Amino acid sequence: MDEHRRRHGRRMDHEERKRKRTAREAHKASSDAQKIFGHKAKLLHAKRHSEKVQMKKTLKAHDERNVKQKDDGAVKEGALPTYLLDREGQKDAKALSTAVKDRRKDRAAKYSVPLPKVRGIAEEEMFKVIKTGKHKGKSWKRMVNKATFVGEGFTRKPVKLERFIRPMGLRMTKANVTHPELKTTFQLPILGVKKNPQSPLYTSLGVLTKGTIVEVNVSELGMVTTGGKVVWSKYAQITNNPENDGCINSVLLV
Amino acid sequence: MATLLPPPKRQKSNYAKSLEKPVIVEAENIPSIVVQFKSSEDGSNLGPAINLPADTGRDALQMLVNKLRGETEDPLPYAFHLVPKTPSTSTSPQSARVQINNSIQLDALKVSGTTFSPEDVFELWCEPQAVFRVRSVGRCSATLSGHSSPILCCAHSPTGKYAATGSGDATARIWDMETGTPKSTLSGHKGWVLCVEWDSRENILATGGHDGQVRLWVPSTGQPHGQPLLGHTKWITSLAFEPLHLVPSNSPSPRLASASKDGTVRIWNTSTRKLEFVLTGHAASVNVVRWGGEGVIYTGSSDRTVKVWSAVDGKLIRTLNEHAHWVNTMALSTDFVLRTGPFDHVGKVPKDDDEAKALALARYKNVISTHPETLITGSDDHTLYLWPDQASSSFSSTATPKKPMARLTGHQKQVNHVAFSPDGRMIASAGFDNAVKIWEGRTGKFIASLRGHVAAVYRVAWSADSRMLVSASKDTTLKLWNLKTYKIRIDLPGHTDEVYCVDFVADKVVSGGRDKTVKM
Repeated sequence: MDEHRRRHGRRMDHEERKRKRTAREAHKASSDAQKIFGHKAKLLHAKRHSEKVQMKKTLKAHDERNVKQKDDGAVKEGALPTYLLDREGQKDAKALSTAVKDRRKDRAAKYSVPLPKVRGIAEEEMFKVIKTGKHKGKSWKRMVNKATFVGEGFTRKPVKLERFIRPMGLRMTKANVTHPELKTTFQLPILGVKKNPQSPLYTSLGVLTKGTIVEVNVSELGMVTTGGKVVWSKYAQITNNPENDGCINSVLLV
Repeated sequence: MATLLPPPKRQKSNYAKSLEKPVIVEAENIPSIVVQFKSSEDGSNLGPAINLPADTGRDALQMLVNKLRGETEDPLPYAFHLVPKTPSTSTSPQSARVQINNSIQLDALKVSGTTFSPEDVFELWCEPQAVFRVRSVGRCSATLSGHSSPILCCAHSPTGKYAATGSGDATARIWDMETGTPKSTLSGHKGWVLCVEWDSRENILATGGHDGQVRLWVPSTGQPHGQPLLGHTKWITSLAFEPLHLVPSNSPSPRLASASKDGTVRIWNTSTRKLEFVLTGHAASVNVVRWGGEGVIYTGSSDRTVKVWSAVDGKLIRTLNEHAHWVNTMALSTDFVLRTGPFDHVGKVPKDDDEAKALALARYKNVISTHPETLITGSDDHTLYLWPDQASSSFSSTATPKKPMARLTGHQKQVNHVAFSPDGRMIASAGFDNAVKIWEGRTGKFIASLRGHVAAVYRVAWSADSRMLVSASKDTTLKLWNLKTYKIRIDLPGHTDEVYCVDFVADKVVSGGRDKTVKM
């Protein structure tokens, strides 16, 4: 619909028709309310009742705002000196625990990532069981179903001993990294998988799923540290499901 | 024959009595000890080690020290104490030093349980005391009512003639201390009056309220000094006036710093009543603000940091974050001198502004010459930190200004109030654990713990000669402490509810509390 509107615009009399329709709405609503029956009516009337209640509340609030009441200068009871304000009934243990919690929150804020939680992935979804052996009876091999990253200079283990197969078709080397502030996207080579939130096994295999933290080569961006050194790698978090899209979209963690 | 009683004795005549052999008092073996006098300011030796009999009295010791220092014309009174070398288990855990009140023999050698023997060289630390003596407070001389709500803050004027109290009924009252009568009532605030401060020339009184307003008053007439200073969005937690010697000669009155719960500190020009600048940067309520003598402003806040600002342009100089919880209270070693400005115990009234400034500067320089301005901060994390001089441009190689000089631990609960003694030698800290602790002002070493209150101690105040300490507490009593024995000297009961504030004026203690009365 949006596409069509962008291409062809609207009808010539769109504004007129819209105006007339909104004018008729009040009448239509009232005639509906009187004529509808059955369970549709129950739903409609419940909705109207709640709307009416809301409207009454807002009107009352407006009335109060308009009337400027003289503050009777009510000085509150229970005067306390400055060092006792903010301490209503706070016990010592609670003060310490709130202080500890505040500090934890401050520290945790340092490690906040764009996707703090990810959906758990079951093993059946992640691996496909490969049956091997003369009579296809052994089923100790697994093939990874998701996109993976293997480093440069990766050589497979001897095939007879290989437990996890990472198919070449699902190996990815580049990621589309978006800079959160500049809002621009670059295609940067991946240097390694830092952490997969599902399990450390997946981290060691190099599986790339949504929420995985990867290290990308950012020398292309030309960032420099305060000491004058060139920054050439940064972390990014994957934001899509690469096995569905065929590409890795991620957000740079600055 | 019945036994006969012997004839009754004759009364002995005086002559007979005088023939009785006189009772020989056993000459006690008074050992001779070697004493080395040490000055407690810098630890240097005052003269060579001297051989003395152990029962030399305190006056004699004092005379000796004065002679050694060559001050026979202007003798200074001294207090002496010994520091035990090895902490023995039997010494009372409350004090780490032994005061010499009578003589070394009586206080150190005879007292069992101390590790002194006559063969040691005794290092006697001498502390000069104030030349004047404040009369001891004995009883409640006057109970002044008038406030209709608990009294939240009190401050005595620099000369000691007046005291101002602020209360929850949104008024502040000025009381005449000499006659014990009310002088004027200052109303105008719309919320509780939370803090009250005098300027060092006694010309202006500033009050800060729960409504976020700062109001200025002229104390002699009781009239407001213009419109209230608006700008803070939350209540005022603390006020501080600029020290007199920093006020430039063209502007007539000192500036005022007001700290508020909204996290900002505003500097006002009191003559034009305009805002000069705002010190922002704290992430939480600023609990206390102090104007130092070197042109720096210290602020302590609930975001666990202490920030040091320049008073000239309002730029942040440094942030000190060592505390683990809210910074509740702060004190400077020059607090007393800055507050009383040109007035000292002689009682001379300066003729005009310039003379007042010169006097204030001279007094300030006198205190600074022995030891630079140090800051102590107390916090909810049960500790206090002693910070080195922040403003000096030439730092000694050992002290980096960002690191505290000492960490004072020992309180079991939050530290509520801390105060330097007027001569800067001792620090008293009051905490919610019912104890008042005394620490050394130069190094921060623990001296003694004063126990006696049965509920949280809210405030402490020193007498002007640094010899007496009064503490106000939640248990409705005030206690005057003997700093020689570290025990209670006098108990001052009489308030019927918690005592929220106390201040020591000349020889009077003024206190106010939840029972809505001011006692003197």
